Amino acid sequence: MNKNKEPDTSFFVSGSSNIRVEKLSKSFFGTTVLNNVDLEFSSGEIHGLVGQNGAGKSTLGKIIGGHYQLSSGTIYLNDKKITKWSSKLALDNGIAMIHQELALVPGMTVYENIFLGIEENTFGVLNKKNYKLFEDLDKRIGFNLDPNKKIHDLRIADQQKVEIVRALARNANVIIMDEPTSSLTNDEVKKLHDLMIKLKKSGYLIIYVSHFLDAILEVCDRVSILRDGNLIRSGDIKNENKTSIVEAMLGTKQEVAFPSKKINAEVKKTVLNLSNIKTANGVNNVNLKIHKGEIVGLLGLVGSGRTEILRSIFGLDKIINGTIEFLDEKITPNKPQDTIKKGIVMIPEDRRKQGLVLTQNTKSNISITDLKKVSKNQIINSGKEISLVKELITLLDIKPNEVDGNIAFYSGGNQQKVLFAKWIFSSPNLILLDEPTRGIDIGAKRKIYELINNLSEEGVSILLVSSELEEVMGLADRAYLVKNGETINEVVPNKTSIDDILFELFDAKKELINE
Amino acid sequence: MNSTKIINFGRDYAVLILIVLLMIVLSLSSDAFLTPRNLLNILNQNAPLAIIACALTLVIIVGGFDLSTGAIFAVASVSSAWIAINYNPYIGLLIAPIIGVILGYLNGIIITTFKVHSFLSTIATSLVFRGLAILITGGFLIPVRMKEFTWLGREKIFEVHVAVYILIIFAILSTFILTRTTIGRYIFAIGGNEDASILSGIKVNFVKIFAFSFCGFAAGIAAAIQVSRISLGTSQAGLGMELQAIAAVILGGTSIYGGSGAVWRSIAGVMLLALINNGFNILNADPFYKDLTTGLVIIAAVALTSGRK
Repeated sequence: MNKNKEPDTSFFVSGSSNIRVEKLSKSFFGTTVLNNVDLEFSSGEIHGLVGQNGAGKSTLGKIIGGHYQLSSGTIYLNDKKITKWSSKLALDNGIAMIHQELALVPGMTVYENIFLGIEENTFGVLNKKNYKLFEDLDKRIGFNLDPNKKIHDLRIADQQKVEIVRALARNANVIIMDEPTSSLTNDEVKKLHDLMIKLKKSGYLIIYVSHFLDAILEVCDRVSILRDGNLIRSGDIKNENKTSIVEAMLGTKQEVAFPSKKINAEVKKTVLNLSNIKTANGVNNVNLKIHKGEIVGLLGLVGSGRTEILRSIFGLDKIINGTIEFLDEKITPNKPQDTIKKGIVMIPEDRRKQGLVLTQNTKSNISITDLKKVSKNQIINSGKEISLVKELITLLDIKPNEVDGNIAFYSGGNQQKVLFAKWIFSSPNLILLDEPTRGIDIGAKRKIYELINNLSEEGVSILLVSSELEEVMGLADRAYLVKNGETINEVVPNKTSIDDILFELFDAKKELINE
Repeated sequence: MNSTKIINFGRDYAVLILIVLLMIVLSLSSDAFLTPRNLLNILNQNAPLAIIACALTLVIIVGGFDLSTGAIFAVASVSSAWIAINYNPYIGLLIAPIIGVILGYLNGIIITTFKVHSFLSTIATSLVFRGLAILITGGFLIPVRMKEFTWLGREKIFEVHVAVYILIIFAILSTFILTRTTIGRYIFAIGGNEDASILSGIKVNFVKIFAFSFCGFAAGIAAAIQVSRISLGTSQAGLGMELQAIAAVILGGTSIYGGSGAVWRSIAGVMLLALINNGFNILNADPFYKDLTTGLVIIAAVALTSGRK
């Protein structure tokens, strides 16, 4: 707005900020999300907030960042009681929040986004672009961003960097990061962590909300563990380890492990057979086989064409070359509605954009895949529908266990369970599973793993794609390594180590293997 | 906690609250208002618009817009009158909804084949349809003074106009389709998240074509009622009706972004607009203030509804 607010070029010297919340509570539509939380954050620390989905960690971050109003309690900023609070006031007081879903304007340039809302102007007329300001900021962080690039041309990781520079341009000395690493590669995560440590050392307070306990343990100084809206404990990271944190998050002692699977003694019947599949969308030469009741994983880096393989089987991308055989019959998938009829379904990675209809209730979301089952002459038999949906809600332990629940307010884990229920409802033969546990908590993850195992024990075949190597290694019977849209090798997880696989995928970049 | 409940209730039922308020005010100010005769008259007069609004609800929930209902109404009107005079009045009345379905189907085909937004394509087709109506009439009016033709718009059964029965049946039919059938479920799903619907194997194009055809069907029925009532086919019939219908649907609380809404809401929206009109008539108020008042009421309703999912 005015010239006084121009970004401080001596960016490593910043004022200190301490934030204290007292008896903080928050409820949405009668559901308590945070309950009497007392917490203190001080400058010069990276403070981790952990908990299962729905534990309230994101909500706490958003309240401090001014995006949500608190229901009761008090926030103190530098021991001063705050009476009015909003995202604008938070920013004015040096508190910036970086969201899980980035909040940039895609059609504008990096420069324009960074200074959005604090443009230098003379009576509302924009001044000439001051690239020096930008360069000063950028140099100190070492991001090497191009100020004239449009946001939509940047990769997610770079967009995140823009968000961070944007926060610094506003002289923020408190930065709240909500799941910043969920779309970053290991290398990028490492860079982000380095930056966080740098910022911390120059007096910033960083509040780090994350599901990734390894990341929390690596960079945080203090960690606060939330469960069901209550603060379980808050303390030095030195006193914690992965097991102790998970125990506190779950409430009961529970192991982070994969359920063991009964070995299927049945004669191996081939369900799906791809040979030399090529599409216009990045699949070059894929050969793979899936047997009945088998879980087959695809191991590869982001961008290697794993998702595209699933898309080609599902009929979303046109196949240029090669053959697909499904249950001994040659098929040419070209529309999802046809492949679904054959019993092939895909559970997409982005549950909010591609999976669920958030304006609809639980029941309508689940039964949509096979309304024929519960209708006669196109008229829905709602009694039958409700009873079938109820069975699935119980089977998957979806909470709240209501058929007309408003899924827009469900936690990520429960939304994911609804997504699974939706596809189990159509009784498929083959499930194409893309990132089944992205952004969900450990408790829900375990439930999903058990479910995947149960499905395969019942004879459903599963083709699994996941960025978490451990997940594929823990669940799959066999896996294919995918590189540049090609299946290059086949491995049996319990006979191979993750290190070997990484070594092969990364072409000998050994330093990346041990984060 | 309790206050949020009240606010949510207000948001959900804003249109009903406004109708009740308006009815209280009107019945206190005039004895002529709260009589069965006056109320039935309002219903009867607005039956054609309400029928269109019912079907338009499906189109808006599926995530579309239909700006051609007024023009479909015109083509159906003049065709109906022309056939009534040249062939048979009963066939004339029957042809209106058939023509409506055909034109609505065309809308659906254009939207799904060329992947254009329905807002744009129905503006274009509305010009084409209106032009068609002018060609049919040759620019003249087509008066039809036959009892066999005018009964639909004018006759009463048990003191109630035929049009009101048709409206009731149509409203029940639309509600049934939307809430009890598979296609209704798909309409909500597509409007709520089209990508997810495609991935769920829903025949998205088929459902959209259905919604537009149904909307055309409604415009055809509305045209039959209206042309029979005024016993005159004119290519200028239904001018501006498409916007009134859209206003009524949105005013009722159906989401302009698609994915949620209900047929009763649209009827309530029509009634709210009608009551304002009626109020001015029975109070003998200065008609100069009518548009202004209508606009203010719409703003009030929108303000009450804001923030509703």
